[in-house]
Amino acid sequence: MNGRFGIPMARIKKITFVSLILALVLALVACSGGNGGNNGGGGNGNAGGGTGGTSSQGDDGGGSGSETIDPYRMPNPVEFTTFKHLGANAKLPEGDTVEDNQYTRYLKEKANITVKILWYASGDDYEQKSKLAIGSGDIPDVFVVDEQTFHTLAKANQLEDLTEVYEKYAAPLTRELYASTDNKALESATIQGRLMAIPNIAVQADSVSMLFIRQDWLDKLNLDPPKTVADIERIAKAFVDNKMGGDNTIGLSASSSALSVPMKSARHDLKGFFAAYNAFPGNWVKDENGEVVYGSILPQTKEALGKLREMYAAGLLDKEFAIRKEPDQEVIAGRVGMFFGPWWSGGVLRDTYANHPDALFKPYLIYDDKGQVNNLQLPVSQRFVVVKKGFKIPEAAMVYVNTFIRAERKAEPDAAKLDTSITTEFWPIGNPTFDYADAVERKSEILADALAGKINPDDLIPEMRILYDFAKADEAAPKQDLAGWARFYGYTEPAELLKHPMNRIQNEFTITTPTMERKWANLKKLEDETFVAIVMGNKDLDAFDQFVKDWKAQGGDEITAEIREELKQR
Amino acid sequence: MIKSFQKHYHLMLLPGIILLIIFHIVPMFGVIIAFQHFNIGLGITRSPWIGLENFKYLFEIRDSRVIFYNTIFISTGKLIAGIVIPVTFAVLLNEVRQAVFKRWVQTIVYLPHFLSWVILADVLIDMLSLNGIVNQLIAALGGEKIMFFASNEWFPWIVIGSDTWKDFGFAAIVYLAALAGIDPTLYEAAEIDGATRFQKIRYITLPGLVPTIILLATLGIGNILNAGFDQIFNLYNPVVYPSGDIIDTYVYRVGLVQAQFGFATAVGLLKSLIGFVLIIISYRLAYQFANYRIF
Repeated sequence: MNGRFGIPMARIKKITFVSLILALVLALVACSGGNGGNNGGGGNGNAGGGTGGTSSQGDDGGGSGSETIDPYRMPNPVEFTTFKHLGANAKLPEGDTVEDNQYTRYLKEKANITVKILWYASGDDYEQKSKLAIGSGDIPDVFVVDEQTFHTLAKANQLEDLTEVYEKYAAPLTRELYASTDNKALESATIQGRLMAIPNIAVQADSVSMLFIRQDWLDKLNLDPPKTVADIERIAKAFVDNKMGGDNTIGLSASSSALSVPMKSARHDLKGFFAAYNAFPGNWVKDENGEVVYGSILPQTKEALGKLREMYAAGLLDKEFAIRKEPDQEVIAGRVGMFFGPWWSGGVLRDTYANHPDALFKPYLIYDDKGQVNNLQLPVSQRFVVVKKGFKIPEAAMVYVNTFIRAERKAEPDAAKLDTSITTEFWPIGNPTFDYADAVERKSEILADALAGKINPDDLIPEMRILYDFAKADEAAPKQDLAGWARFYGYTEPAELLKHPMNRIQNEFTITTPTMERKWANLKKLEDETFVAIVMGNKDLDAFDQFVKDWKAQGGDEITAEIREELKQR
Repeated sequence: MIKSFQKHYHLMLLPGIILLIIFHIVPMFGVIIAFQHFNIGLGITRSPWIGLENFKYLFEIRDSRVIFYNTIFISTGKLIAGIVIPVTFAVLLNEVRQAVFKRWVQTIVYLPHFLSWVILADVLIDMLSLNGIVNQLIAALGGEKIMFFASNEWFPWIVIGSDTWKDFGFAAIVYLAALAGIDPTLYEAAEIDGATRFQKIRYITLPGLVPTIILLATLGIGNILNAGFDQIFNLYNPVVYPSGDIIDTYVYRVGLVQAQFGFATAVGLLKSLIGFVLIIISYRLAYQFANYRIF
């Protein structure tokens, strides 16, 4: 009943000895099948290792087969402690609190788990407070950490081994999601053959940086849509020269951190711009010889900076990008012609349209000189649910994650009653996303099929049904309900672009080495200072060469060697 | 009799002492991480000991010179402006004869003291942006617009200027109090001798303020390595690192953002050590020149 990627619900309810055996058999089949349809040789080796674990676990399961394991419910009430991130703007209905809201109640009812939230904070406050708490050894039972902290804690032997817990308690739906990453997610949480955390699954759509452009201006000036950086420059010039947004028209906006490329596309980054030069400043990428190098010191980066410098001097790039705190405000005020952003930028468009009913934004991908789109991918997992060493009931974490995933995927009737307008950050341990890696593309296809009448809307899962209803309402009365429009917009035009073939680049190294710990702040400062000075014209473009020399001499070479060494050992 | 009277006072000190111990003395234990290769997973007790390595590294990196220079430049500027402006203001205000006007002015100028930098910084950035009120004025007068917050020439002066603007009204209170303490018979005598207003300021008011000025200046020296974290943190950006990055903002970025607690603690500890020496010197100076004593 669950439509295209729903899960048969009957299966979920009876997870018994039988399903363990089934899993074992499946695993053995996959193993003996040579290539289980996954990927090349390396992948198979890993798959083999994984099944080794499974089979020994299968024996354990046989031993305790008499007891029934329900991956969605603890037999006895369980309470664990946590601390978490909570955005400053997150809102709850009247009467609900962070400790008592629809998610905590749902969790208690379904999974028999209550979570004691020691504290919560937002943004930098959270970063600081959690680092201090971890630093002073004051960690809760179950909580979410980033990759770096995960490795630090694991190395310091502070985490509970979850290998058995996963084998016993992971629900089929959970396993299916992990399978959609070719098991890379689980690998990223595995240290020396042991699973030390429950990794999240990043939705890759979030990595793509697309150029949103004022289509109404483009049409008014009779210009072709952009394909390359040269087009961006040409269009920005036309926008600025014709004062499309008034005297202070901004051709291309950028944020103060735009000169290094994030893995997760952020609004007003220049990720798509740099990618058109195959440049990935701030990331560790493979060079043409297959060696890992730091993207910021490569000639492509110099080339991209040179172009940004020209555009800045010509007044096409936001003159004040380095000091702007809220570039979104410029967009909403109708002064910005183009900005780079992720597929979910609909909220800003909504606010712009509310102010300027004539405005129309359209997303485009920017191609490099070979005519391909380059994209720096997200690591499969960036956040990790970890369990403190010595916590007596580690399976509670797995049951929690199972329940969370099932509820978020609406694969359980009561989950449909949860109000989706309340941010999932209110789940007791916060919001690590667990979803198919290509979830956005999948959803956009379902939505398109439903709108085209190929799927009966009544068969949609509630989450998609809501989007469908908003899209239908918008068909009848375009842009009347902007709030509703912003909800489904991301799954239309922007999601279509996500399906475009891309040259996918990985950031090869996302944690730190010993020398990095020591010297990175300094190198990062050198980089930030130099890049921004080059673009703003305070330094010559050739200052880049000096930067590369300094960077290498002041520890960059040492760090590169360390990283290559560590990657060899993995 | 006298003994029990003193006990009374000591007892009243107790709450303060307890707070001091809990929040200032006990955390001092944490400075050992300045001598460790601190690993947050291992904690204070188990992190490896590396002696003075963090300090050595501090002197190796090119940033150290810059941040120490910036810190001292900005706080010296603040110290000087923080004396000249409030003193001038207090003297001028003292000459105002209209009591209502005087009180109004005083209230208005010390209001900004109570606003936090988080708010003021946004106001300031907006005012000094390319399309802000200041640049509109410059453009109207035919000048070329200036990007104040992206200019290393302007940034330290904006920091000094805005800090002075925020606090001079409050600082003037001390000087006004000192002015109130000047013996009025001196002015009467001067008047009989036929002194002008200006002469009275020159020969009575200013000399009467000198002990207070010297006292506050010398005590300010002990604070010279505190250039004002919350102000600069809210105002700066990578463009003005070369002129605006101070010890505290650097420690923040290195220590909390990059999680190098050991190194950041080493920088902070060094800062405290220098500050400690400076406080002793300034106390000596204050004793010598202004006859100020605590003990």
